[in-house]
Amino acid sequence: MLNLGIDVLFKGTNFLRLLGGLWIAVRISLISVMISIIAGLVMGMLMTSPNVVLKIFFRTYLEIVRIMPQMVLLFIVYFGTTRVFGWDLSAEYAAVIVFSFWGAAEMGDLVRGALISIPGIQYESAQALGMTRPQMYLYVILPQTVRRLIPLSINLITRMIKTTSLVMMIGIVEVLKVAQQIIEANRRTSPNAAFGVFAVVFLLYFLICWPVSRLAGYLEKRWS
Amino acid sequence: METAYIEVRNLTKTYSAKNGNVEALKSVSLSVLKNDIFGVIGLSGAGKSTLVRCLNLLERPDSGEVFIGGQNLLTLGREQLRLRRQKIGMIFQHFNLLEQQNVLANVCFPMEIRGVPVRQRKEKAMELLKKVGLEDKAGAYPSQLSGGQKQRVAIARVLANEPDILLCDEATSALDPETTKTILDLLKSIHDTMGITMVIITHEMRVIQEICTKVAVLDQGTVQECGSVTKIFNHPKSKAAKRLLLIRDTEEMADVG
Repeated sequence: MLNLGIDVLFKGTNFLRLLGGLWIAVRISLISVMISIIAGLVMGMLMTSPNVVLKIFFRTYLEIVRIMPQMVLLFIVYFGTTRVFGWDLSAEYAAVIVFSFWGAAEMGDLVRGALISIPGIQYESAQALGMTRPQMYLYVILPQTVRRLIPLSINLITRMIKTTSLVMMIGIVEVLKVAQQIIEANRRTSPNAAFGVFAVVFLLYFLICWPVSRLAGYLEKRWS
Repeated sequence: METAYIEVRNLTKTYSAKNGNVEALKSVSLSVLKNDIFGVIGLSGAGKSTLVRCLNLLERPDSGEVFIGGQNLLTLGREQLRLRRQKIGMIFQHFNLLEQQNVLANVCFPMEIRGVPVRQRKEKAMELLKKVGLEDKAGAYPSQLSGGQKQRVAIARVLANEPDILLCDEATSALDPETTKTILDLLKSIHDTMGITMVIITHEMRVIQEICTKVAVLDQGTVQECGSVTKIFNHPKSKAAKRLLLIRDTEEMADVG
């Protein structure tokens, strides 16, 4: 039989270590996603403001996030700030900061897009019914915004989960790094492990991201 | 002389657009008596939508005054204005129902906003649905209804606030002539039974002809002519009125032919 080298995962606590690494990746993305959604909602609303200063500020912010590779951001926040400001950030904090910085910007842009796609007549008819401002947003505007937002933000969330694999570059031992370590440690005894172990890592990412995108598909169908 | 129930004086509204300013309203004055069905007709761009939005201050005029029942709306605070608006119903061309809620919930909605207890609002909503002839559709969703039925739901919803004024902004423009007629009949019967003063914005002469008692012809932001429907239909003076009548006649000929 073809030797895929999966057997190394059953040696000692290897598989548990891999799952531990996965948890770290999931934890970083989960926290960042939550911060991004909340910050993004606020930012999206601010981005629709006609204020020029705000507009320029958010435009610049968004462009920076789009242009900078996430890895560069990670390096700046983790290594750079220690040197310049003397901050002793843990790698995981640095990762959460970078991913939230990125996610908030993109989420904000999605929220902005969803908000401006709500026709003005929706605001008008809500006001004509004599609704207060909070009622108008709560009952009329937000439900429509969220509906437009979900498929787009799910896409962003899965991208964020996948991109957490970069955090091993600042020394976080997440699932991909654990996989590497296992492969390295067993290079002599099972040289084929590179294939099997990474295949399992692929499967793990799949198991995390697939339900998320299924959820998006389900919600989209239900609301169409 | 009777006093006006809705009165606007010297309304002016200018929008700044990319290629210069657009004067939507140029010193428009109108008075609508209580119980009138008052039509405002004009081609698109005449300023009628802006005018009707000034009546409940969805748009604030640059200058001029808006009196409803003797009260100057422009002097009201935000909260007072909101409460007054609840009594100025408005229906739209595209109905603007809550698509995710069924018909009953849509009609209950304004009462929910006002804090009416559940049982009471359901009872009232059913009563209103009966009035608009949709009591069998209470559980249906807007997507399952025809345009005419959706507008009926919108009318039931607007009546839930027990308005004394109803503003109709091109309320039948998305409907075919047949359905338009039934909606106008419904509005007429609501007017007759509930004594609601109505302002009807339209670009179609036949809508005016069907239910209005008075009409103002609006063109390029000014009132060209204003008076009883029969007078203006029989002896149009302004160019705008003549043009609108011509359009109606051509359409009628097309319908016959």
